[in-house]
Parts: sequence; structure tokens; C-alpha cells
Amino acid sequence: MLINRRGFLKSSLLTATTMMLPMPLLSFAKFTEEDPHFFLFVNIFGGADPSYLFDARPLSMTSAGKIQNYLGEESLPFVGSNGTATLMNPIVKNLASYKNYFSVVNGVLMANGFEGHDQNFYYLHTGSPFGGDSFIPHLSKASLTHQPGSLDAIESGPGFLGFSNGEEIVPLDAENLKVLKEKFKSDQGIGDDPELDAFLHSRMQVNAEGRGKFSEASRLLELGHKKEFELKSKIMNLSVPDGARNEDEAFIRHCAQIFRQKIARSAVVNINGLFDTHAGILAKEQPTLYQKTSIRLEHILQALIDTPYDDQRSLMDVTTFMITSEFSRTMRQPGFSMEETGTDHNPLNNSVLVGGKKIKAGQVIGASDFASTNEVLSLAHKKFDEGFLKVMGRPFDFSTMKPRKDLPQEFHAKDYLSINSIVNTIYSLFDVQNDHYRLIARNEPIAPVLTSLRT
Amino acid sequence: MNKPIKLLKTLPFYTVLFLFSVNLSAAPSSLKGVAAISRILSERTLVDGNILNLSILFGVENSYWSMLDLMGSYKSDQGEVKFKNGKPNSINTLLWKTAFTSLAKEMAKECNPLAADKIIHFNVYFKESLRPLCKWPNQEAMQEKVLQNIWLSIMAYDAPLEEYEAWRDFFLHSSFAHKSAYEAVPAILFSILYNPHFMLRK
Repeated sequence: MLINRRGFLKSSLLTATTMMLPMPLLSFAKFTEEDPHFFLFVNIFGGADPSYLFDARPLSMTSAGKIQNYLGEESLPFVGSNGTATLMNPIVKNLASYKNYFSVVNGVLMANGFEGHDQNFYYLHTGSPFGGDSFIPHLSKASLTHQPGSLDAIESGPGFLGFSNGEEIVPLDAENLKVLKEKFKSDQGIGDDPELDAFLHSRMQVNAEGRGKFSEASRLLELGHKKEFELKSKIMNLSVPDGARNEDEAFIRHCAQIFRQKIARSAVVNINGLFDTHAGILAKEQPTLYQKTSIRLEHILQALIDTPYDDQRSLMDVTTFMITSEFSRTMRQPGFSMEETGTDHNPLNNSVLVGGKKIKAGQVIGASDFASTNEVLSLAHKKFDEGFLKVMGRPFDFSTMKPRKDLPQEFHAKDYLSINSIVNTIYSLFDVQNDHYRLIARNEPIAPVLTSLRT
Repeated sequence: MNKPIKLLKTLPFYTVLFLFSVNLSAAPSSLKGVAAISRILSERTLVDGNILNLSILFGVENSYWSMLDLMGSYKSDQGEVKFKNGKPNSINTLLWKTAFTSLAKEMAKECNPLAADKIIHFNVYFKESLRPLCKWPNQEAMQEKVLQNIWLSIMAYDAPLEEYEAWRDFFLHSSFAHKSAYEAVPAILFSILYNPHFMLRK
């Protein structure tokens, strides 16, 4: 084989660079090259009620005035391959046939002590109720294939504005892609002239010389300017998906090309709806709302299965996904009948579906309490819920990966399964560096990874 | 005797104050953002009372385009309104470059009185500043006064004199000096807009 000077330099540089890499990174580089891995986050805004999903309650509890159930149908058993069971609302029985693709994690604690949407949404993403870095860009940055001009994630509709590292989570859905592509085509010319580009770049460089804030921002602008051309080229190579059977399939197909082109490693589907059912009149609409949600989730799962990543793998084969909301809801409101009650925020419990690549599917991990009318609740529960309106995660044994049966007198965060353990599990699948791992709580050790959730 | 002791006692306070100030100065400046750029351009170039909706520069009419949020915008966050996405990166730089390309082309349409597809109404002062430049590459268009006027009509006094001089010299001494007005004028206008002194907060 003949090799020219450029080819020789390229291969020499690659070899030299590879030799300088520490061993764990070397193995990861090989791993990412041969084993593409992406992340899909399905974000249900507003506080979804797991009793209409995979943490339902028997109708007898509604008859006893404990929990609203506007569907009025008995819930169905859903038993995990690991032996742990939960109840499934009949509304989501369409998702039961996808059981081999995901596991249900129940009894998940959110921002205990904070009841606001923002606080719990931040907690879900950052591990702090006050905000900070979302975990999603950490997954991108962990990849050696994250290239200049790459984004951290694309999302369907805007929703991720609050994070300190959220600048490159971009609502680049098919509609916005269409707008951009048309604009790029019609505006070709000015900024693409190499002589002008060199001049513009030189002004950014000159203004970046210095120590003040303006110089620092000019440096960032110069960096952005260097990368934008590559990003624009990648966007121009994308096609607007057509022929999809529904909006979610269209977005998943769009994600496939985003992933293939290495524009982003993650994607976010934002499901908006009237999930925040404080008013009884809204709560009565829950059967319709969750039927629509269940159909959308089915569309997403089916699209992951049907969409090819390459000629050997589907998008489901190369993508880990997570579906959840910022918190769950109370079972009822005080002073209202079961026919009129709404529901309020409950960060003491949540339900998360995790599936796809590297996830051991078909399991039910964790559980919530208040599973029957007469269940004796722990003092730890009562401390946070004097009116007995909330379901709370049961204590969890991280060594056996099973819910515990004891009733703690005091609340200790280490006894419970929290969203921090789920995020750390995701981190472990994507080889995220250790300093991003979340703690159980402030001044506590790192939240344990859910080892049984991994293949 | 008391003075050194008093100084020692207050030292931790001043140390903390110093470190805090160092930390503050380390935070970078940011893009001016959608609201500020829209206001600045409206005041300087548009007919009185008109506000430049940046969405139309992307071909999105009569609404606020969601991706403008990425170009630096004010958003409500836990009861406070905060400026988001102001740190320059590949996506917001691409979006600003696209918006300014489009705007420069719209501005340059003023060189053609017969252009029928104008979507922005520029004010008289801006049009007067632009008119002599439309004769590019004639010497008349390259006069100092002409270049100064068009620079100031967009940049005002946001940039130092050296920035103007570098811009002027580039267009007088590069291949653009020989290009037609059709090619050169949009580039001249674009390069004023796509400049750190126009785009960034100070």
C-alpha cells in the first residue's frame, strides 16, 4: 500500500497520541469506536402521577378514601424478572409488551424537603434543588468521539434553560432543522468567503488578547467561530425526516441521524401536558391525559426498535433511555371527596423507567409504601407526611437490590433509593469521570450504583 | 501599638473580600443577547417605533422562534429573571452569524431602490449613510467620511478607533476593494455586526 506524506503524518500522530493515553482511556477509545452508545431522556413536565403508570394502587384504597382513581378500573399485577412486583394501571398495559426493553424503578426519592417543580427538576438533573450542572452534558463530554462543533443534546421543544452547563442542549428538532437548512441555503456567501473569514477571526483574536472579561468572552467567541463552520456543515448534511407515522417517531428518526453524524450523544423528548393536577377538574381528566402519554411512550419505544442505527443495529441497540418526571403526586387532597379531589406534589416518591443498551430489562427495582389501606407506615414516613397523603419510597437494601421490610424510626438518606443512584448508574454505563458522581446527600458518600440494573 | 493589631484582626475580612473580587473578575463577559441587540439595531437603523424581531431573519414570521433563546435571553428561573445562554459557543455563534448574514443582506437591499422583497424598514439616517457606499468599488464609496458614517450608524461608539481602522483597511486593501457593490456591501455591513465589540457585553 502506498502512503503519501499527509497519510504518514496522520497515522504517526494518531499512534503517538494513542501511546500517550492512559490505559483506561485507551480501552474506552476503542470501546466508543466499536460500540456506539447514546442517551435518550424522556422528560414528563409537571409532576406525573405513578399511580396512572407503573406504581398503581388497588381500587380498595379508593373505596376507603385513600387515593383518587378517576379511571375506576382495577390495577394489574406487573411482576419483575427479579421477583419484585408492582401494580400497573390498565392505562399503560400497552407498554407491558415492551417489558423486555425496560425496567421499572419505583420508590425513588427526589428533593426531600423541597416541593417546588423547579427545585425537583433541578434535583433530578443536577443533584441539587438549587441548580447547577445537568448530568446530560456529562455523558457527552465523557465520549472521546465528542468533537469540536458537537452539541451536548438535542431536544424536542425548549425546556432546558436552567442549567449552568445547558448552553449546548439545543431544540434542534425537525421543524427547527428545516428553518436552519433553508436559511443556510439562501444565505450562502458572505460569511463563507475565506479572506473575510480570516479577517473576522483576526479581530476576535486581537480582542481576545488581554485579561479582562471582554477579552475572555472574545476568546470564547473565537472558539465558537472556529466550531460553528463544522456544526453548520453537519446540520446541512441532515435531512428532514419524512414518512413518520407520528411526531415521536419523526423525532427518534431525527435523533438517529444526529447520533450517526455525532452532532450530539444525547436527546431529550419533552412531554408537556396538564400533569400538575392540583385542581379536581384537571385530576378528572387524568385517564385521557395518561392514555395519550402511554401512546406517546409506546411510539417512542417502537420507534427506537424500528429505526436503524446502521445495517446491523437498531437505535434501541445503541441507546440507553430514561423516562421520568420531576416528582410524583399526593394520593389526594385533604377535605375533598374521592370524586372531587386533585393531587399535590410529592418528592418522597417517584417512578423511573430505564431501558435500552446496557440495561437489564424486565425487572422491578425498589418499591413505595402505602400499598394497602391498613399498611403500618414507618415513623420516618410520618415525620414528612403527617396527613398521610403521600406515598414514600420504601427503605432499600443496596447489597441485595431489594426493598427492605423494616420500618425506620428516623429518616437517613442512605436507607433509601434516590434519583442520585439512578443517575450514578447511568454515569457508570457511560464511563463518566468519578468527580461527577452524586452523593447520597450533603456530606455523605457517593450514592450507590444500582448494579442489578446493568447488564 | 493598637493599629497593627486592628489591621491583623481585619485581615481575614479583606482577604475574603479580595478573593471574592478575584472570583468575580474571573467570570467571563457574555453575548449581549437577543433583547439588547434587537433594541440597539432598532434604535440605530430602523424607522422610529419599529422593533427588530430577529425571528424574521431566520424566515420565521409573526412569532418568536424558540432557537432565539440560545442566542442569549432572559428567562424566569425559580422566581428570578436571569440571563441565559450568553456564553459564546458553537451553536449561538452559528445563529448570530446566520442572523447577521441575513440582516446584512436586507440592509444591502437598500442599494437597490427597485428591490421589492424588503422585509425591514430602515430609517433615513441609515439609508443616507449607506447610499454612497452603494457605489462601491468607485473611489467615492471608499472615502473616509463614507466609511466612518456607515461604521458609526451600526457600531456607534461601542468600539475603539483601532477597530474601525482595521475594518476600513481590510476593505480598502483586500480583494473586496475590487469586488462589485453586490458582493462587497453585504460583507462590509456583516463585518461590522459580526464583531466582538458589537456582539459582546463589556
